[in-house]
Amino acid sequence: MRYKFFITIVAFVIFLGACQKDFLQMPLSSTTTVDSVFSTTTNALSAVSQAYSESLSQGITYQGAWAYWNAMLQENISGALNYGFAWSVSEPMIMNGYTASGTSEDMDGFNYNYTAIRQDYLVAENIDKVKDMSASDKVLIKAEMQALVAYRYEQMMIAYGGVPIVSKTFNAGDNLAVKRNTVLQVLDSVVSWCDQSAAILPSQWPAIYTGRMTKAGALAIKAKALMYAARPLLNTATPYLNFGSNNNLICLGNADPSRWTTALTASEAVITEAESNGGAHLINTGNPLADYGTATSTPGNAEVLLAYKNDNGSSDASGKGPMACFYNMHTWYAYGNMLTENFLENYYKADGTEQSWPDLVTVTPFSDYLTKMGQMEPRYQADFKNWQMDAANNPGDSYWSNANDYQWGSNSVSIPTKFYYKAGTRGWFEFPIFRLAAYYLSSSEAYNEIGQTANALARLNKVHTRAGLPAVTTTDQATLRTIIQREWAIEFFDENYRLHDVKHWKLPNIGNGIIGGNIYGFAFNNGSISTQYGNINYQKTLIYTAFWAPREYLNPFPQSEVNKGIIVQNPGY
Amino acid sequence: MKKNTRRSILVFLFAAVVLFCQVLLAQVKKNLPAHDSVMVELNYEKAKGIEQGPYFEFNKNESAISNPSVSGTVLYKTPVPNITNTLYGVLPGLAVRQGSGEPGYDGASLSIRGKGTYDNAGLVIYVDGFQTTSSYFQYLSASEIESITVLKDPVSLSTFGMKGANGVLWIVTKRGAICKPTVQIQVVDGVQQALNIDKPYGSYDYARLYNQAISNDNYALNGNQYIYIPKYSAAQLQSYQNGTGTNVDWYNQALRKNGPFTNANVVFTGGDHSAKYGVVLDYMRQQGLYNVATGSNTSNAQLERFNIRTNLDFNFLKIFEAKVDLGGRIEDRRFPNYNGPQLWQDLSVYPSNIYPIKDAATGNWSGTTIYPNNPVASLNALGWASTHDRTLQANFNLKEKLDFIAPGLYLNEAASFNTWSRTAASNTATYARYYNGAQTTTDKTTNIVNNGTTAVDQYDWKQANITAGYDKHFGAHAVTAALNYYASNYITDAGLNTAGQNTGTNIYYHFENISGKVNYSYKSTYLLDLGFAESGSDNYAPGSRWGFYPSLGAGWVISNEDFLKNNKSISFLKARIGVGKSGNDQSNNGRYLYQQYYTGSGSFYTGNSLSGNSGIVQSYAANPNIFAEQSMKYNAGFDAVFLKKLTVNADVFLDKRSGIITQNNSLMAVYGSSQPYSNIGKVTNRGFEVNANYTDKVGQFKYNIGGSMTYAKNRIDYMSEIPPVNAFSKLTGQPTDIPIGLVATGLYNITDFNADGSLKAGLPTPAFGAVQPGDIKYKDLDGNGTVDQNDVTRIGNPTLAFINYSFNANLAYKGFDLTVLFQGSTGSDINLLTAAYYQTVAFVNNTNVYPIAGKAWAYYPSAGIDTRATATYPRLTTQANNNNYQNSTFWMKKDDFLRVRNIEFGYNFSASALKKMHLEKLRIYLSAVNPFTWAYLKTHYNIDPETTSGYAGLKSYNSGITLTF
Repeated sequence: MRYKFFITIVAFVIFLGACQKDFLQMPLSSTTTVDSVFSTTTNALSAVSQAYSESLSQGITYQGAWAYWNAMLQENISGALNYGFAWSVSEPMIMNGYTASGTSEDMDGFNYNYTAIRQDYLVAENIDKVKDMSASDKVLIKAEMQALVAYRYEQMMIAYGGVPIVSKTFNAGDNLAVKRNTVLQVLDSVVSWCDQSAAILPSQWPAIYTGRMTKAGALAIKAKALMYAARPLLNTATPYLNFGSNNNLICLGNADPSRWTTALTASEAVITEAESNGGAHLINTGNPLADYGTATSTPGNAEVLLAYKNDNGSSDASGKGPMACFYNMHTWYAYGNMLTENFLENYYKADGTEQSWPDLVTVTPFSDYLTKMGQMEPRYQADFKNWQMDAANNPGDSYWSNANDYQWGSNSVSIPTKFYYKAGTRGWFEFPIFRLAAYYLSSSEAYNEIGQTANALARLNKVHTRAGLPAVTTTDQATLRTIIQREWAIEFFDENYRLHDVKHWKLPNIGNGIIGGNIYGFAFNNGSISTQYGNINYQKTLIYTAFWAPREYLNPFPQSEVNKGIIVQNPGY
Repeated sequence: MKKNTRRSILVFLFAAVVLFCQVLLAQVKKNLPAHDSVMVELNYEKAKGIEQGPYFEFNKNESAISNPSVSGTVLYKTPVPNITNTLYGVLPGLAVRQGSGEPGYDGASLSIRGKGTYDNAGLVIYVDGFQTTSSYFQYLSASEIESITVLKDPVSLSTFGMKGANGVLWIVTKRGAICKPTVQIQVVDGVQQALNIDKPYGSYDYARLYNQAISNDNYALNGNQYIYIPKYSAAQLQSYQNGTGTNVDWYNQALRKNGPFTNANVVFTGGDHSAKYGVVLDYMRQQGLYNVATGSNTSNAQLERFNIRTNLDFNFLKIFEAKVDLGGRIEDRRFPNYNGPQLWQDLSVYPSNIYPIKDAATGNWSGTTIYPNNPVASLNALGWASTHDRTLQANFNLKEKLDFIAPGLYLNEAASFNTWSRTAASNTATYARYYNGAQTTTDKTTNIVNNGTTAVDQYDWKQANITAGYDKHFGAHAVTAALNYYASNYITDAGLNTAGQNTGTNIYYHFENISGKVNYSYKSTYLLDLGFAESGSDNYAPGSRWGFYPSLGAGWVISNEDFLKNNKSISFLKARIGVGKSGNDQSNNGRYLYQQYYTGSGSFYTGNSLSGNSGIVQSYAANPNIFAEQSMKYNAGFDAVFLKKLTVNADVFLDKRSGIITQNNSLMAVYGSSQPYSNIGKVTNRGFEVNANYTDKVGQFKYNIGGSMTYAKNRIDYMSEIPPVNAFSKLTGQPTDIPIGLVATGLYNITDFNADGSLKAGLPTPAFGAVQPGDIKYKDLDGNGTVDQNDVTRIGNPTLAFINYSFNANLAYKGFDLTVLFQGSTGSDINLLTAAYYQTVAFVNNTNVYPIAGKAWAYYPSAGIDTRATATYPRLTTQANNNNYQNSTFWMKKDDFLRVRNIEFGYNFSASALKKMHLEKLRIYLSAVNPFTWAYLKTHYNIDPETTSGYAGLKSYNSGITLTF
């Protein structure tokens, strides 16, 4: 009998074993997986687009009106523009300083850097899986991704000092305890990544692909990193705050004047490559307003080496593209971003001399405002619309007239109109990440620091005279340094240089009227605000007193990251 | 009511006809044994002594496993439409929380032994051995149910593998018995009423308080002076007071006091050794509380339910036993063509003075742009909508007794088909809104139109079970064992399939389980239970789909030992312990978390013609090792009978969860992606249950008193929490679902402010906007001078109470009997802002004001108003006051309550009287459901402790009759 019992059990077990093996297999559904992304060129190029979009968005209001981290301009916290409607993000930073917990980091936050970098590595690591793409295209894409990673690290080095270097996409199970690398290690990595990718990247892309990374673009990343490395904030043995054994996380560990030579070589290499092979040149037709306006505003113009060519669709509540939201004064989110008197002082009169502006006491007739504004240099005219005047950057365009473009009164100097030269009603623009002019100024700055004043003047005046101003002739190194710094401020207003430039130059007045200290505007109509028509008088007025502490030379890391115990917080936070 | 009476009479007539036939039949079939007793009573006894569960029933005394059961008869004592509302306090370890009373949407929430996880804590339901949906279970009729068992023992649950971690409800339906044909007819009829309606103030108080609110809002504009600037003039206030002004009690207008409820059923049972049958026909109709007729143009909320169950047993060819079970149901819901929760929200927020129901000038429905949806018009002028649900569970079971191979060996095969579909139909119209003779919105009055029928949703569930079992006694040894293979294939509609990631079009759910159980006893004194399951789920990557879940239980019947055998006070004593592993494969975070998905995202442009290139980005990072959450359960307890009268069961339990699917926030940012889901969460849940029952009689007076209590409290051991700025804000280390908020320290006084309206030096600055006297003051817990979201901490207990208890009494004297069941809970808190927002926050966004705000802070000496010393509510405002309406201790209230769930008073006719009527049993009774409630919230805020807002929870008063022949 017993054998029957066993036969039954065995039969039962065999029956179980015969069950369909794929019963638990996931069925086909409407989703994209890693296998399908990198199977065709079409999908792979989508991943490449995403890599550009994420990597180049650093510091730009690409996310639209309501995305918290992007609800301000860098110029708000550099003291150039009032904090305006974006007060929810920029006001606490301006008034109370940066804090590590929550709301006062620079733009879209530390963590997002690694989201962009992950996308870059993801493409580079998987592009070989694509079946219908040539091997040479794959090599090119890998070089592009390497340059994009370098761009993010170059920007992080400037804002944070030494940061964790990752060189692949992590898996969840990997050891993620990546500590901060030293500033020197980050710099060396950026330089070597740029050298490698520049060796592969083309000087120019076919027409349909323009905007992708070029050889000049990669060299530009390297040159920018080396210039900031040569400036005093990082190029020192004694950093802005003593960080003890971690000093090399916030400076390069020694003061080495030869870093200016290195920076100069890199900057000159950009100019050479861009002008000889890249088809780029400084736009100079002898019409300063148009030349500067075109260089900063026209999509795909000859002076731009790399731009943020973002989605310009209508993806936010106002029906405007995200980029328009905070740069275009026709969109209400942007209304509060107005020029401060502190920054106005940088601009020359069109004849190259200094303008004299009213003081806090004297009430001056408004006709004086109109007169003095009319005397300002072309770059000022291109970048700002004055009260009760039409915008000069869209001459004869009623859309940009005072009748149409006045939004509300304010106690500030004027309204920014940069990036919209002859743009009409076009809301979007391409944010210029690298313009060739920046490398003329880099070279000029470096020549001056190593004592080659004549060369410094030659490079500077290319930019300075293009703006219609008489050539600079001073040969005093210190005076020239100030003039070059002033040129950076004017030429690159609102192009995300100023905030970090003033820190890396360690300007003595940084806490007294630049980032911190009293920030002034103009009061109109007997201490009130401006009106659209019929303003009576104006005077200088205090808008707010901004915060500055030396810890703010570099940004804080998010407290939630520091709490994980791997990353060391920058000193003072 | 008249209709219902008529229907009851019809049912009685029907019963009388059946009765007559039965009497004839009974004469014919005299050779069969009589029904042992009334079937349900027989089965209740059976449910007490026999443990229900997967594979086999077994004698409780022979096993170390203990799970409580309740019979359908007990559940039937609570006449409610939804079976979940019969479960209060009758199953130790099962916590039941009442919800909405809306017909067709009135399920209570159920949890077994508290909550073991912060992920999906939903229990799993089996009817007749096959898993079903909660919706199938909810509208079973108590008349179809033989017993419900709460499976919470570690050994029982381990055999469910990946379905067992949160506990199982095991339902067995009624079957035939070997007896002469028996018919039982039951009818119960009653009225249902709202348990509680928290009514707002009328027009006078509304206007009076609005004047304060609007004046408060102008405080800063008036240079921080208390200037009374009323919106409503004294004349207007007077008109509200003397009844000449508009003063509509919307609740009174839109609702009626009573909703009728009827349930009638007929149960046929009988059979012999070759065939048995149990047939249940059940009809239920419930009407809602809306004051509107059910007809072709309008409809009250209504549920009609038709249940038919046919359970057949056959024995043939000596070795075969077959069961054919068909459980079918139709549910017809009708309701006004206006969303129920929205209607109740309108009722709670529309002030009494906005307009009369009909515009006086035109006689049309009133409505304005701010208050467009006149609640009375929503019921009367929009038509109605309905859904029609069809459900069938069809089970087939075949058992082969293989004693010819080895005595006690058998095989059993079973299959189940469960299908549900819903269609919708409606007759709808729209209406124009008028105010003071003018049309206020663009809506037009239209004729009512029929919109036809559309398919809405469906599911389909196929399951199969194959069991090999063995049951044998060798002298003092007894072995019962079973080995089972189970496969399940569930398909739902994409529209229903939305919880978590990657559901949507992934509508197929496949599951396999190989499991077994061995029960061994020696001399019925030393007991051993072994269980295991090998579960496979389709949610995981190939290679990590299967998990193994073993368990072990041991028991010792101490009272069988010589030293206790003849003890007079201890009649029975058993100690038992159990440990077992189980799992849960249905995470709220979603399915297929092992797959790397990509999603579209924005565009980047190239070329001067700006050709867009759409972006594609990795979504959360896949985790190839993702697996089911795991539970290790430990249980120890004893069962005892003292003096043959007092039964006591007590258990302590520990549930260690691990591998709870959680986004791994501890990963460094350098990871650079949405954190992957990992099996990293940990929760410990522990508690105890005590259950005691005392039965005795004094002469003809029989009584039974019982009580039970469950305590369950959990703690999050690890959840990869993003570290909060301050340690006191942490959720880790606290129970799941605790409320987090600020600590309120009262209201700001005038002395807290400088003349310019700024806060005096030394007081922390709140970061939620400007404050003024009468606003809520918070503690600056981290002492940084600012009160903000970093100052939040635990401000109370979760809504799911730590302690649930119940006690009951059954008294019988001659034919009369009285049963009472109390149930309550303690240790939970309610956040008024989430539980009853519109009853709490006055005026903001054009809402109403409730008596809770009657003692608001106000100071207008010129108007004779000064409540500064007695205020219990912050100053009133018509604006979104972010400071006052933060989650804080100010709005946290105790949610302790005790309810009488059920009282039944009945009379059973005596045997002699029955004989004359040719009946076996006749019982008439009166009952009340939820008649009394004691609750802190109800006493102080007129809010029901369980159904805090929306469609009111229900109580009811019923009369019924049961006759058997």
